[in-house]
Amino acid sequence: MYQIKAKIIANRRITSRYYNLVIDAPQIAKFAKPGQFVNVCVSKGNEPFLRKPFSIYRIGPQNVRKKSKIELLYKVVGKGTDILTGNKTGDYINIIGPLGNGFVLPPKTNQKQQSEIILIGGGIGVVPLLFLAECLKNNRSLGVSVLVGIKSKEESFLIRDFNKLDCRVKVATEDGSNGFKGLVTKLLKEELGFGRSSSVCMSYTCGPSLMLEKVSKIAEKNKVPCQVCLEEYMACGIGACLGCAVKVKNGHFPGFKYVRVCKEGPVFDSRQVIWGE
Amino acid sequence: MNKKSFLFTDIAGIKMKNPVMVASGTFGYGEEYKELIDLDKLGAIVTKTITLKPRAGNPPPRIVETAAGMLNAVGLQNVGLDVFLKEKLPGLKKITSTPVIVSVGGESILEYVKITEALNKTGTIAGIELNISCPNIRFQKKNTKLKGGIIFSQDEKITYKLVSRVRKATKLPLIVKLSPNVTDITLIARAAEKAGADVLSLINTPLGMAVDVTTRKPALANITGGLSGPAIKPIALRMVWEVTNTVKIPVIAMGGIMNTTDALEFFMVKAAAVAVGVGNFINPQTPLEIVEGIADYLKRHRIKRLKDLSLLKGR
Ligand SMILES: Cc1cc2nc3c(=O)[nH]c(=O)nc-3n(C[C@H](O)[C@H](O)[C@H](O)COP(=O)(O)OP(=O)(O)OC[C@H]3O[C@@H](n4cnc5c(N)ncnc54)[C@H](O)[C@@H]3O)c2cc1C
Ligand SMILES: Cc1cc2nc3c(=O)[nH]c(=O)nc-3n(C[C@H](O)[C@H](O)[C@H](O)COP(=O)(O)O)c2cc1C
Ligand code: FES
Repeated sequence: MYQIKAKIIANRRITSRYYNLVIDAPQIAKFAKPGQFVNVCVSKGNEPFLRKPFSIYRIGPQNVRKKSKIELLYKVVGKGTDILTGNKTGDYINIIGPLGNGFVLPPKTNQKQQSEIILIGGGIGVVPLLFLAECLKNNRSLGVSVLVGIKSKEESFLIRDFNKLDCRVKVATEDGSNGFKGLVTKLLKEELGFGRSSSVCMSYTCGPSLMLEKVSKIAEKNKVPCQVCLEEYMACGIGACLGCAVKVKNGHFPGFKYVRVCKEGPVFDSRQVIWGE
Repeated sequence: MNKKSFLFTDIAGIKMKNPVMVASGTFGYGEEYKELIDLDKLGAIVTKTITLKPRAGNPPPRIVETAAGMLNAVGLQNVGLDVFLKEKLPGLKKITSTPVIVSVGGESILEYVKITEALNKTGTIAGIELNISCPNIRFQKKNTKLKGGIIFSQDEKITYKLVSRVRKATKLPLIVKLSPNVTDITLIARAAEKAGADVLSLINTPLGMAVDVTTRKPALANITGGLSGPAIKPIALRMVWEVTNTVKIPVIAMGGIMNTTDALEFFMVKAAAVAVGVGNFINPQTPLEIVEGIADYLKRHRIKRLKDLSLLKGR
């Protein structure tokens, strides 16, 4: 974990609401794992007051062994992300990372049929899944399928980098303007239907919490383990303030306890999470 | 001039290399920050408030950003006395020589006394801070209709009784942390002093609320929460000024301290030390930058000791 004043390499506008931020952060790039995040100081003053957490989209440069850059992909939703868009190449930004526990990679397996992986992303939730997909593709001979749910074809850039990775990509749009018309959870049901789930050894998901809850239920029903990447309002990002609590099972407070999304998470085994409380 | 010697601060026997501490609840059990700052350079570390039994805490969302600050309703989630003594305290002592002050909370006077008695035996802590000001723990006073009860330090008599009982139970330096949610804080400060407190610390968080207009619901699951950050600094400063002009015992000041200038303001109203709270979240280097900043200020103004840094007369 490092706090660094990092140089901005690029802050590219992808669409009016999505930006791609590349930061020179060798220490963080060296240790970052998929699913981990950085906590970014977006403001020089008091507005917005808190740092803002962002998942790591990937580390780079590509085809270079020694990674020195981290890449974020962010959606402009409020004051903090709006200020972030104003950053220019050469500016410095104060970030803390890498934070949290990332995804647990699937166990190495020799049985070829046992090695299907499914990633399910909703909107901007694809961010940590891309870094994960890169690791899965780089290190292992696994079959990786990616199911992505987006609003409409305007957000299709969210799947572009998965296509480049040579993953099997399926997209669902709410308006049917690209791929399947409907929800990504419907795609997942189809993927796992007709006994196909037996070849899937792990699923990973990130996106809106209602989607995560649905994905977890579908995965559990089909006996596919599922790792969910959660979001919660954060202040410190390092486990000190207890602000980012989420309810999980098996605690010593009859049947539950609160754990920190920033420290024990943001990735959890779906069966541990108590949804909606 | 040796920086170390002129910032050295002794508060009721708590010997600190400088007067900059970190506030309870914003620094976990200390070890959370070990990778980000040199813990040995802090004046003192005040740990998250512990209670006799572990507490689960409040449901999320527990925090929300507000103008120049944030609201929190963590609900005093903590590991409880046993785990604190077995794991957290030894763990922290292992990684730093900085004095550790343990913040104690409870739902009854007896709970405070029991925890204090257990802390007496550790032999490794520099002092106890009684958190009698947590907006999340309520005491049901007889003959009042206030829903959910009151905060201990909202009542002079309860404050006096609680502090006296704990005073009898320990020889350790005893700090009493006060709530700003009162009409006249000097009355409570006096009661704590009379009951035998060695030091006062203030302020804990004033109660606040935020509404999410999109969902038309309170932003926090707990509805209300404690406000911290620059938004509360003027309130904290006024209260520290009132209290230092009322009691003889030293005061540790906190509330919105984000930089050297903020800290200096509190020293000028006669605080003996300052504590950084949410400043740690925004920039974990804050307390250490303040230590440097104070040293520079004193040198530049040729002031020998912090004690000489009071307000000047007149307007
Ligand atoms: C672990 C984690 C990873 C994330 N990764 C990404 C990512 O890769 N790309 C991306 O675009 N977004 C990501 N987010 C969400 C991002 O943090 C919020 O969009 C951002 O904080 C909004 O700030 P704002 O000031 O622009 O918006 P605001 O107007 O302040 O808030 C809009 C919404 O953002 C969320 N939010 C605001 N402040 C915080 C905070 N301090 N901590 C957590 N959530 C907050 C709240 O749900 C709020 O309702 C992630 C969040 C978490 C917790
Ligand atoms: C998330 C959070 C948790 C806190 N927990 C405690 C606590 O357990 N005990 C306590 O005495 N004060 C607690 N406080 C109050 C702080 O110690 C401090 O008094 C207050 O935040 C004002 O200082 P600040 O504005 O610098 O943060 C907490 C504050 C925050 C923001
Ligand atoms: S954000 Fe502070 S504990 Fe997670």
